[in-house]
Amino acid sequence: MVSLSGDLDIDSSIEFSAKVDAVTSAAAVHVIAELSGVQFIDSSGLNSLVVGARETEHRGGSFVVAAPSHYVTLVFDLVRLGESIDIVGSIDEALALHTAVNAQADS
Amino acid sequence: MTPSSASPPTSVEDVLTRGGPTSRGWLATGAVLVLATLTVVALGLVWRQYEDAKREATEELGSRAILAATVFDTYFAGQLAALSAIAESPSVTSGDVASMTRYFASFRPRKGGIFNAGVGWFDLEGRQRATSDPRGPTTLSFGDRAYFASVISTKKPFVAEVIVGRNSDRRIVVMSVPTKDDRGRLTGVLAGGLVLPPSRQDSRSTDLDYAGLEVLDRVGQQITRRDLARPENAELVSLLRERKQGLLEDTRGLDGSGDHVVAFASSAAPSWVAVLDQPASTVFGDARRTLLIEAILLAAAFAVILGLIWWAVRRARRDLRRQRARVSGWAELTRALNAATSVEGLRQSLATALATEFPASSGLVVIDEGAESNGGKVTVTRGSESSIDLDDRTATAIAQAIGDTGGSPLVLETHQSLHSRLAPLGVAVVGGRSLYGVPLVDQSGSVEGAAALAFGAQYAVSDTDLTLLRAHADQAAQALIRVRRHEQEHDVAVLLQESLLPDELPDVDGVRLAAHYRSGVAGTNAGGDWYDVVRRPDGITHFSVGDVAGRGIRAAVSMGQLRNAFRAYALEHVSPAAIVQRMARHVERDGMATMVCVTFDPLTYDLLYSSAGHVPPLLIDTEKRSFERLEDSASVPPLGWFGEGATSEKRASVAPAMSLALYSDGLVERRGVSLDESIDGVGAAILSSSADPEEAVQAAVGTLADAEQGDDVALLLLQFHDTPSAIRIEIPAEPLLLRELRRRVGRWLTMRGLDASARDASLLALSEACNNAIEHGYRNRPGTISIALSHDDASLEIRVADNGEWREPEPDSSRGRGMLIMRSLMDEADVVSSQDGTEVVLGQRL
Repeated sequence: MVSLSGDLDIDSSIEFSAKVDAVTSAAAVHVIAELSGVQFIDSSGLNSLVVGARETEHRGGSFVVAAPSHYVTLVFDLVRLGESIDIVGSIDEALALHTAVNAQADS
Repeated sequence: MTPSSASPPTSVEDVLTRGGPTSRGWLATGAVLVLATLTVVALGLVWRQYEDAKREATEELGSRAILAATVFDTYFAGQLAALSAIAESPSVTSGDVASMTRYFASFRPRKGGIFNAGVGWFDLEGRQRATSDPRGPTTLSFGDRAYFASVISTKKPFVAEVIVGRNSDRRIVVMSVPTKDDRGRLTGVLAGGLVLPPSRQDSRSTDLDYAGLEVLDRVGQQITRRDLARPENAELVSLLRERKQGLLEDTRGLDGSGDHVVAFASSAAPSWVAVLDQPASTVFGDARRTLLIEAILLAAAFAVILGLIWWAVRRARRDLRRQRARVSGWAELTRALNAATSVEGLRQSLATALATEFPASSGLVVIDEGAESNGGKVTVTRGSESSIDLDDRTATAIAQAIGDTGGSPLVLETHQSLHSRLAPLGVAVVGGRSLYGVPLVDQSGSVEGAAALAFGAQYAVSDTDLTLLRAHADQAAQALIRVRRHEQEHDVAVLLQESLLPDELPDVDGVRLAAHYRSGVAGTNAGGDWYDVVRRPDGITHFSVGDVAGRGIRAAVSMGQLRNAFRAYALEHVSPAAIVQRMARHVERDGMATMVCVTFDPLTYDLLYSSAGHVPPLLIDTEKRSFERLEDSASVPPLGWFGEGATSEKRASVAPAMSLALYSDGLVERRGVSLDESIDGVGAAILSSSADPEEAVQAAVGTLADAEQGDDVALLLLQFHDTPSAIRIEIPAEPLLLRELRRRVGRWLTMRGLDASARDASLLALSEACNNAIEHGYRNRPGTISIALSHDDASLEIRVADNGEWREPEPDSSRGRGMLIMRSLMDEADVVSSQDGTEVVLGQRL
């Protein structure tokens, strides 16, 4: 799980991408991006989430965005991010979603 | 011009220290004491002489009285002897009345005869038996008469009291002797009468000093009086009778009047008393007159000698005062010349010193200030007793004449010499009689001017005068070189300083600016004050005011270096503390400077300040009508006196309708007033001035009195007004900076009154536009993003421009999403590309 806080903009998104890359490059992992502390997100931040999700899934992992703030949700809606990434309201939901995906994969 | 070689006849030290006036006070006191002693002794002698004269006068009076008494005795002794001879004649001894009558007839009263009042013989019963009176004996009995009774009882001659004649007013004295028969038996009494001549005080008696002579007979009658009146003063009469002879001083006279001297002597035969009774004033008149004359002479001598002493003392005091004045004048000249910072001031100092030293004369000092100067070259003072008119042309000609003497003094004592010397030069000293001058010769020997004294009355100059004049001139000449160098340096420093200061103030968003700068007034040193304003591309503006310690060119150069350093650091750093910290590196070794740096962000209204030992800025709130100092918790010691990392900065909240005054200490340092009071005075002046910043600056500078405008003064006034409606800023195209940009612009949008959602949308759109410029325009290479913000009631417009190349973004990329976000959020999101770069125009209707 990666907890983020502050502004997820052109500056910090590079750092975030690098971190996700480092976590997912070795094996299939399941990533929960916890965004409750994020107050600002721009297109670069969104892109880093999209790229992170794509890379993780490509390696057989999963990528869930959890607990975005009201403002961040508005931005997600603006670009219809929900169509390409799983977005849930809380970490519990994310874990539940993760368990469900695992069960589906096992069966 | 030749150098001065003639040395003065006496040195100025001799002149200044001449005379030992300290002992003169004692001398004067001693002289007065001696004089007083002599006067007392003289007074004693005079008094003694007076007493002697008095005693002599009284003794003389006494001896005259004795003489008078003796005369009386002798006279009466003779008369009685004559009477006794008659009594012993045979016709009397025989007792024959007829014979006696015949004998007595020869004593008929006649002028010059003896017993001119008649002679008569009385028997033992007191009956008159024989008489010289042709009418014959009277039948009256004389037995009760004193002279009869006395002779019968004593058998001795007797002189009776004076009586007034029965039928005339003749005064008669009767004397009597006993008569005896042949066998010696008492037979009767022979009496003879004398008529006293009428009493008169004639010139003869006065010449003999018998004025005031009274003669008292045995019953105390004053026989010199027609009426034989007895004296008023019966007490005195009884005293005279008792003492017989003597002197009475300071007593009442016979008539009872006071302060008389009475000399008296008794004559035994007639039992008379001769009395010399004179008023003391008559007796002692001569003595008193002598005393008076001597006293007057003595007093006159005393007064003359005292006057001489007083004159000497006064003269000594005047000399002392004069000498003191001379010494203090000399010291004052030395001080004034050392303090003089201009040729003008030096001329004034010398002229003032000459006027003090020679108050009666008109002083004249000529020093050329050089071709570049616009000022005059002549200073003239007018003496107290002088009506001399010296215009510049005359003064210059006199200076020329003095210069021509080749270094020796110009001495023109008479009007004639004055005229003959100056007439060829085409000038005349109107009202002048004597003129003396010396050249001002500097160390190199060149004649730089002249000093002269002109007298309205002919004045014979002394060696002392010339020495002083020369000494004054020499001292001024020595100071001249220093003053000239100083003046030159001052001019250069002022020029340098003014050239280093900003020509005009930049436009600063949200702030109106006014500044005042004045270098120290002419005659003092220019210092190293500066003020400066640097508006960074990102809109943040740094203001600074500083003051380099020291004066002249060096300070001005140091100021220039510091100011350049400030400009560089201001562009490099946002933090005022960082700027102040780095400024310290540029202070010369051993140098010192103070400064304050204030940083203002027009987007956020954040104000930060940092000070290094500088006077505190004043924050003035025109709405609350109050002001406060941005105090020293953010202050460190002056530049050059603190180490690395010592500086700090403090935040102050400002709002529209506030002003901030940054100034140098020249504005608030004044004599006799505390710094606090002065700062408050400046704050109050700005508060009460109008809204115009220029006027506020003038009001603040106006708190300085003219006399206090010696130091440099720098003042920078910031007047904050409403949040600007349009701002253009530039920032480097760096991802790292966008968060701060959002914070600042967000604050501006809030202050402009946008609601949270409109603000957030605008900030996101701005971020996307900037991302575009960084990623697409510059492709992450260095560049600059220009942002223009403008806002009015109806709309908000944000323009973001770069100088890079534009590429159409791929739809499913961050850029694609960026464009999507901008277009979704804003009412308008246009991308305008050109060769020069790309501009994104974001518009939102409100």
